[in-house]
Amino acid sequence: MNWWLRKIKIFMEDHWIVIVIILVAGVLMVLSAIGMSKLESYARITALANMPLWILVMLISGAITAFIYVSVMFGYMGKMKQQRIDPNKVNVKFSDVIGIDQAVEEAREVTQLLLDRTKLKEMGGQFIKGILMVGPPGCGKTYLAKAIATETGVPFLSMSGSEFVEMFVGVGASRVRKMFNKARRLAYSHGGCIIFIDEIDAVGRVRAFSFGGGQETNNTLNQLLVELDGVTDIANIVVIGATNAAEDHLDPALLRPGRFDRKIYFNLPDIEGREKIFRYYLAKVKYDPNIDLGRLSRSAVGKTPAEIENIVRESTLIAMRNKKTLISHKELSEAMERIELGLKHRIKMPALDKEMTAYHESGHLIVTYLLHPYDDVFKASIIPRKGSLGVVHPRPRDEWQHRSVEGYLADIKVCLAGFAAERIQYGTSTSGVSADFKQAMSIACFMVWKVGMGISGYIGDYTVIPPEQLSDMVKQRLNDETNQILQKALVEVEDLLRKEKVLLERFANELLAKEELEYDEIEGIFKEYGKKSAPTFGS
Amino acid sequence: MEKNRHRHLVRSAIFFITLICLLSNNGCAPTYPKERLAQSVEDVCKKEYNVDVQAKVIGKMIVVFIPLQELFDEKLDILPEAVEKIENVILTTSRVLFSTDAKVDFYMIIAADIKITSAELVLVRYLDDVYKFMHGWIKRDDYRQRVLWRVNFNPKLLQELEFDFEVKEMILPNFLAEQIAQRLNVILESSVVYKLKVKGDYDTEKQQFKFSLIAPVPPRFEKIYVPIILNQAQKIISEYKFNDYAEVAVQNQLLRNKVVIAKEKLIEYRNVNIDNLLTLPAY
Repeated sequence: MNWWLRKIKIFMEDHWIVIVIILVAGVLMVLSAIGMSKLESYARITALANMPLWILVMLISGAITAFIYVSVMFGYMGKMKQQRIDPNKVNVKFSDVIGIDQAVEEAREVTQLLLDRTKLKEMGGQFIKGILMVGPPGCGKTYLAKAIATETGVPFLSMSGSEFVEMFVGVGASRVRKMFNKARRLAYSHGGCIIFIDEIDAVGRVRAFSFGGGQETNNTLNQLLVELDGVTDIANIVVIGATNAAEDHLDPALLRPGRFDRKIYFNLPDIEGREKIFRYYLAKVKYDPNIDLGRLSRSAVGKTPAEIENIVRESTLIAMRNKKTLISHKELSEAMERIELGLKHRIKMPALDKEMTAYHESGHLIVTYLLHPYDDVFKASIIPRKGSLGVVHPRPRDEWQHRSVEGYLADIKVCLAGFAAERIQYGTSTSGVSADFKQAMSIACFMVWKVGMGISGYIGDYTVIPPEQLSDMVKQRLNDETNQILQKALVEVEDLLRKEKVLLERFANELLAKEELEYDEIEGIFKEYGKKSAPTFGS
Repeated sequence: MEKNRHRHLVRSAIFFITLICLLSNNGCAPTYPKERLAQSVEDVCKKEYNVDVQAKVIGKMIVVFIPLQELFDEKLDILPEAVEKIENVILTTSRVLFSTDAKVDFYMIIAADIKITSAELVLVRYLDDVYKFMHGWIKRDDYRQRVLWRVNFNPKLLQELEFDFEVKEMILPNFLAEQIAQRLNVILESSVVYKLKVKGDYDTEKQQFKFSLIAPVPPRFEKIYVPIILNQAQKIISEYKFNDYAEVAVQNQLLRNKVVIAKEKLIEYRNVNIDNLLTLPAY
């Protein structure tokens, strides 16, 4: 086949629909012309006179049909709540973003780049197209994005990644196109625009290239990638994505340079950060100036800025209910406890049931205090909350990012202490230990199966090996080892509690009498018996 | 990419518009050019209905002569075969006149018995009326009343093979005058009391519509007959939107009475109730 024939064949294959339409239209027009030529001039003129009207009617009806189709498929369905935020109305500044200083510093740098983009271009530099914010929920990602919008003074489009996900194929991609078109228009009229996509993992997760499900998500992500590539320096658009998911859950194409060039990692605020956050939110309410913010922030280890804000808000409500004019440490503590432990439920219990709960919690309390190298006992209670009959609330002494073998073993012992206390006191045990056992077992399993903390010398993460490839012998040994850890911990805990039987009875009685014991009271009783808390790991 | 698409769309639009213009131009060419108008009527009648006719264009009127072996029966009713032929010729003439570039306003159909009686049926139609009827702008009854018809006897037909076409050209005011008179005659014929004949004519020089009562006229001429005639005249003249006249005259030929009404005054007779007048006693 010569070159021309091949070319024609390829052309016809590529454009066969257009060719068929043109052929059909051509044949119809020729037939129409032949038919017209057969008519007398009066009939021909009448037909031709009507033709403009027919064409107009056809165009109008075609336009209406197209409008309805587009409205239904890509208008109504494609429509989404694009929350356009006016930076002047948001008025969140970097100074308002507290406790995540490192993230703020990076955002400040990006903002400065956005403001100095002309200089950057003059130097031949290329501007950042996308910023990805990665971190746990409630750490201020959205808040920081708003601050970027305020500081740069450009329009800010905020959307959630889940808003792009629809059951109709093409709707998600259509929404992405619409969003970027709107951003381009805003950038054109305001000199720049920021698109903020919250929970971007909903649309940006790793694509599945298998047949069937996920096609719509793939299309949406593909469109997002195309639009990100299409965001040029001239367009003046910066895309900020926020996610709680780890980076490896996101599609690598999304993370490559040129799309989300800059990544801002959010961590939980440290003690100083928490103190600043408490100060910031307390400044907005009336509070007792004698509150020890250092102590408050120490007791709020692991709290996100959003949780701290919630604690202050909750404490305001408690103070109102208690008819107090100022928020004191008591209200803040109660608010923290309410958020962490849940609301108290007054339910009627048999005396023995309550007594057994008191001994159970006392077991947890004593073992935590005397053996745990990381945690302090913050509170103990036998008031039912969130489905549990009692609770011992530990607090990390410091912000450890790792946990040692001793730490895990102490966790297991604390879990088993309730069971041991019940057995020592009553010679039996209750179903109240189920949650404790579950936790103890999962910790022991984790130690043996994943992080090589067993006794037999097996190291490595055995969970990565598919179960069918793991020999029964290995499974048996690992499971035996898990059990050994639990058994050994139980023996040690029982020994300790037998030894401290007087203390156990004292705490049980105190709990039965007061129902709740605060940190100071717990500390006082231990001191009374000359007991010191376990030394912190590494000291 | 976007620019190419726009360019392509513009090119396609230009192509289609040119095509439509070419088709339109082709469609505007008349099927029956004015040079061959009379011949076309004859040809189409012969070809499609096998009727031999003779046609001639006289000014803005085409006259079509249909020689028939028989036209009326013994009761002086038109024979069904003759009716069919006349209708076919009327249809053909209308068709040809619609598709020609000739400036023709009227057609006259003359169907004549050339064998025995020499009677001829003459029908005159205004082409605009045919258009209006075809597009449904006038009712069928009204359309029927807008045709002029009369029966003549023309002995020459029995002697000559060719029709001589010695016919006066019809112009619109004459057509209107005759139509008004024809309508009045129908009205007055149906009246029990006022049976008389009206003749209509148009004086081009005076720009005057003339209506003459050509039967013995009873008294109260001015009070009854004149309003009836002027009412009809006003109605028909205004329906045809004819303005190129000065006055309307109604005269009693026997009594030599004459009433002349200026065009501007004619409007006053618009609301005359003919039915009420026709029920008034004559004496």
